[in-house]
Amino acid sequence: MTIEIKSLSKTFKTHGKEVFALKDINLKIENKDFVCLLGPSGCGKTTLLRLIGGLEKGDNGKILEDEKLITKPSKERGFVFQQYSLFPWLTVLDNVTFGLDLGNDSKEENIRRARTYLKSVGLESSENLYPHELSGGMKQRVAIIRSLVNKPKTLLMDEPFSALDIQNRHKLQEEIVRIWKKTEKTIIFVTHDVDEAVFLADHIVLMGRNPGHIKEVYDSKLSRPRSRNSEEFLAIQSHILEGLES
Amino acid sequence: MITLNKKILPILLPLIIIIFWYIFTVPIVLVPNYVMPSPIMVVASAYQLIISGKLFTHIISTLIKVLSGLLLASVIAIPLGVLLGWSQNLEDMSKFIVGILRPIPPVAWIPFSILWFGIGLIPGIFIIFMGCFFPILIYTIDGAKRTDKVLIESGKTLGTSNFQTITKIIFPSSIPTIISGLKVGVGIALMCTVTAEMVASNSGLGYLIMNSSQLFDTGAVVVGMLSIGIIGLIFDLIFKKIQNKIFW
Repeated sequence: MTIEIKSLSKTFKTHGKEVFALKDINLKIENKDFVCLLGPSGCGKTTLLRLIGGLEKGDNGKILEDEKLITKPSKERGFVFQQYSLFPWLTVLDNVTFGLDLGNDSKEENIRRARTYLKSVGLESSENLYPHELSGGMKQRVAIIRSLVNKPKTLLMDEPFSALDIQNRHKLQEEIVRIWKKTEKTIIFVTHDVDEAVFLADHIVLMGRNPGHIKEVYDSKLSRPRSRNSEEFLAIQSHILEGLES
Repeated sequence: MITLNKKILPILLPLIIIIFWYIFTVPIVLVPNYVMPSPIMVVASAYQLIISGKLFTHIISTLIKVLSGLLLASVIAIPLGVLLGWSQNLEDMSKFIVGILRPIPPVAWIPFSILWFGIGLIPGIFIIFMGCFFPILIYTIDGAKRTDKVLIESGKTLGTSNFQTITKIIFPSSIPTIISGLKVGVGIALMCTVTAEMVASNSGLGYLIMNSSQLFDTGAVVVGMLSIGIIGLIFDLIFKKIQNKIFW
């Protein structure tokens, strides 16, 4: 799924004044790309992701998904939120089948499909637990699976691992790369963590603030699997850091 | 040092009250018994009312009114509340009328309830309906409004329509607050029933109290009052059980 953003702007009103959250954004994301939107807080990276998701409306410009204007959220664009977003009154299994149950397939078929996905992230034995019984890492795994089971073409992720400890974060980063390779989705991933962006993405979109804008799109040629200690990794990391600070 | 069993503790105070009540009404008669009945008179009245089946009939009559009024109010107020909590426009539209109708005490509807429905079950149910409709509505609106935005947005990115957002996300998310609203509603319903029965009924615990007092049967008045109290207590326990089962 190709996503094209053309001269997009978004303003917010604070204390009666119009403030640009994003100004004149142009970006093209090709099918099956793994893209990270990277920048400090206030650079509008989350707003940009929400605009792509159809959760916000832009003031100027447009976002096209395969030449079609994005106007509202769709299950074609799965969204994983920074906050925990599982439905607390549903079990893990019912959370995962939530999107499927909105369609016309039989409940048995939906459960069967959900179980395959749960198994792929090692949560098959937790299907009857409720969200409050899960660890943070498990919650985000279920949230990812809940989106993926709908077979979206694009997966939008808003700092989904920022609340996790470092071991869990690294584990989930590896898992998301594995999922990306296997399912061939387009992934757009928001983060403020340079290390995370370099580890995950093939294209890193560096953003700056006041107003939110794109500074540079860095195409990483780093081979996979990636090692955080390799020289190339560290070189890219310092290049990106420089870019962010300039 | 006497160690008090935790289970005895709640019974202790009522027991002391009954003992003093007995002392000042049987051995030492402070006031005539038709002004303050003795515990023995109350037990005798209770025995008579139970044996004759009258107490049971009155309790059932009151319960039927309370439950049907509550059910009717819930069936309308809960869906309406979820809808108003979901849409700011709808809420703004209804704000004025709800604001005006809500402060009217349910008993103020008694004249119209008699004019429209006469004497019997229906006017009672109507007054209970008017009494618990607004608390249930207000609680439901509040619960719906407090639905976590991220849950609604999650639903949308999973493909929910507006209708599905309301039924599958906002409604379940408001259930804890709705239960609190129902709990308040039951209390008001009991109050309304008894009041309504005192003026526009020929059965129920309110009628029992009013009728017995006209016959100077103060023992039966106390039996009626205690029955209402016990019903309220049982409802409260049921709601506590339900609330303990809800964990979100």
